[in-house]
This record gives sequence, structure tokens and C-alpha cells, in this order.
Amino acid sequence: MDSSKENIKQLLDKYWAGETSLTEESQLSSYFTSGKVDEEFKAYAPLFAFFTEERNLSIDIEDDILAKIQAAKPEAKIVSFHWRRAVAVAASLLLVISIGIMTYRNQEHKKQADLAQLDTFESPEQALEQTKAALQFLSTKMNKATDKAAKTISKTKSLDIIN
Amino acid sequence: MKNFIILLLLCGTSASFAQNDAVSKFFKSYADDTRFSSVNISPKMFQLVSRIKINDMDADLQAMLKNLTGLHILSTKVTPKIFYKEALGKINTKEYEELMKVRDNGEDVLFLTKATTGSDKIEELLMLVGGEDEFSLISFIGDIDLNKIGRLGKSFNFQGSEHLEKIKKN
Repeated sequence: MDSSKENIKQLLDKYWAGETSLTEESQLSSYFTSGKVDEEFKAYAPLFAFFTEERNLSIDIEDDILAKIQAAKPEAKIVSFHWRRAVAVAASLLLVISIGIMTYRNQEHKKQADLAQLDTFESPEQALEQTKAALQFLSTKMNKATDKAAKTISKTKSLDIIN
Repeated sequence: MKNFIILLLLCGTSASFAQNDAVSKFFKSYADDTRFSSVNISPKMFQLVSRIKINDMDADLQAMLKNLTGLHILSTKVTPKIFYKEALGKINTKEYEELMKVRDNGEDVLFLTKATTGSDKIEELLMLVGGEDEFSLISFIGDIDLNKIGRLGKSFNFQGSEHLEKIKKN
């Protein structure tokens, strides 16, 4: 770095005119904090010392604020807890659930009892025969129905052709 | 809070009432009626039925039997048309969906299906037959494959009338 008197003077003039670049400013501040400051510029030394100090300070402050925000976040999560309300909710839920289970069980019992009473046949062979007969009755009726539907459709189709 | 609890209780009770559907009530009220002949096969009996080994059984028939969990038949020769209308009026149209309705030679045949809520799977197939001389209501409970029923009919068509007689005797 060129810390000659002329150069520093030039930089200072530029600085007062507000035309210095960032590198030039850092050149100036490092010159004034180096301790080897020319008598002519001594008056400005405290000023630049203050600027550098402040620059460091401002960074510190930002960090501080960020740290404080992050530390404060978990605290925001605390929810007011109403003991009595929680008990009331738990009790009502328990009541509803138990009533639900009771009615469901009752129904299952009822259904099973009904079905046990209602069995017509004692042997599965008889039940099988009856089921087969019922299925065949169902299928003949259903085929009749689909046949009829098919015939009706073909009838309407032939009518369409005539028209 | 209190209102919420009452609401929940009401929901629970109404749901349990809804399960007593009209058709099973109809079955119950006429099962012991001497004018009716009734058949009931329970899920337990169907479990036993599925254990019977039959070698020369139609594959479709076997598959159908496997999926059946209940069978209810109710039939009468007394005032069939009136009972047909009564049964028709008791069907919950929200629960049952009409599949087919045919009138052939003065005989009304109605097929209804009950599907599991939120899927196409059939839970029950209900058939109502209201002829001049007989009324019958048959409920097949279980996952019923409608395509298989059609095929069943084709393979048994030539002997269908014979089985029709069989069921009438009951």
C-alpha cells in the first residue's frame, strides 16, 4: 500500500468529496489505525478510528439482534393452558367414546343372536342345496331380464331403421 | 361445549338407528307368519358350507358361494301383488340402488343392490319377484359379482325351470 503523504492527501481529498471506493476507504482506515500517521493528518486519526470501531460495532449489533430474535422464538410457543377446560374435554370425549363402544357391542350381540336364531337348516349340505337353488333362480330371472332388455333394444333399433 | 356433546350424542344415536334397515324389519315381521315360507342362512352356516368339498362344481358357482355370507328368502302365495307393493314401499332408496326392473307376463321383477359406501363393491343383492300367484323376496348378502350371475344362468339355463320348482316348494 502506498502510504506516502501525497497519496494519503489525494485519498483524503477524494474521501471528503465522497468519491472514494470501498478499497480506498479501507486503505485510509488501515493507515490511520496503523499508528504511523503523518503529523499533518494526526487530526483525522480519531475520526477514522471511530469509523472503523463503529463499523465493527454495527456488525456486532446485527448479530446480537439476530441472536436475541432466535432466543425469543421458543418463548412465543407457550400456550395458555386451562386445566378445567382440559378435564371437561377429556371427560366428554371419554363419555362419547364409551357410549359408542357400548352401542356397537350391543348391536353386534343382537345381530349374532338374531342370526343364530334364524338359521333354517341344520346341515350345511341342505344350506348349500338351497343356496344353489336360490342362485339359479336368481340367474334365470336375471338372464330373462337382460334378454328382455336386449330384445327391447333390438326392437327399438329396428323401428329406427324403419323410420 | 355442552352443545357440542349433545350434538355428538345425537350423531351416535341416529347412526345406530339407521342400521336397522326396513328390509330386515320386513323379514323379521313376516318370518314367523304362517302365510310365508322363509329361509335364512347365517354367515356361520356359510362358513360350514364353504368347507364342503364338491369336485364337479361349476367354477363360477364355487366363486359365488365363497363370497356369500348370508341368504334370506321370504315367499308367499297369499295376495302376492299386495306384498310386493308393501315391500317396495319399505325399501330405503338411499341405501339400495335399482339395478333392473322388468315386467314379464304380469310378473314384476326388481333387482336392487346395496354397495359399500365409497366403493363399487356390492354388499347385498336384493331380488323382489311379484307375480300373479307368488311373491318372493330374496336377499343375497356378500360381495356379489354380477357378471358371474349372468354366466351362471347361461350354464344352468336348460335346467333352470327344474330348480325354480324346487324353490317354490319351500
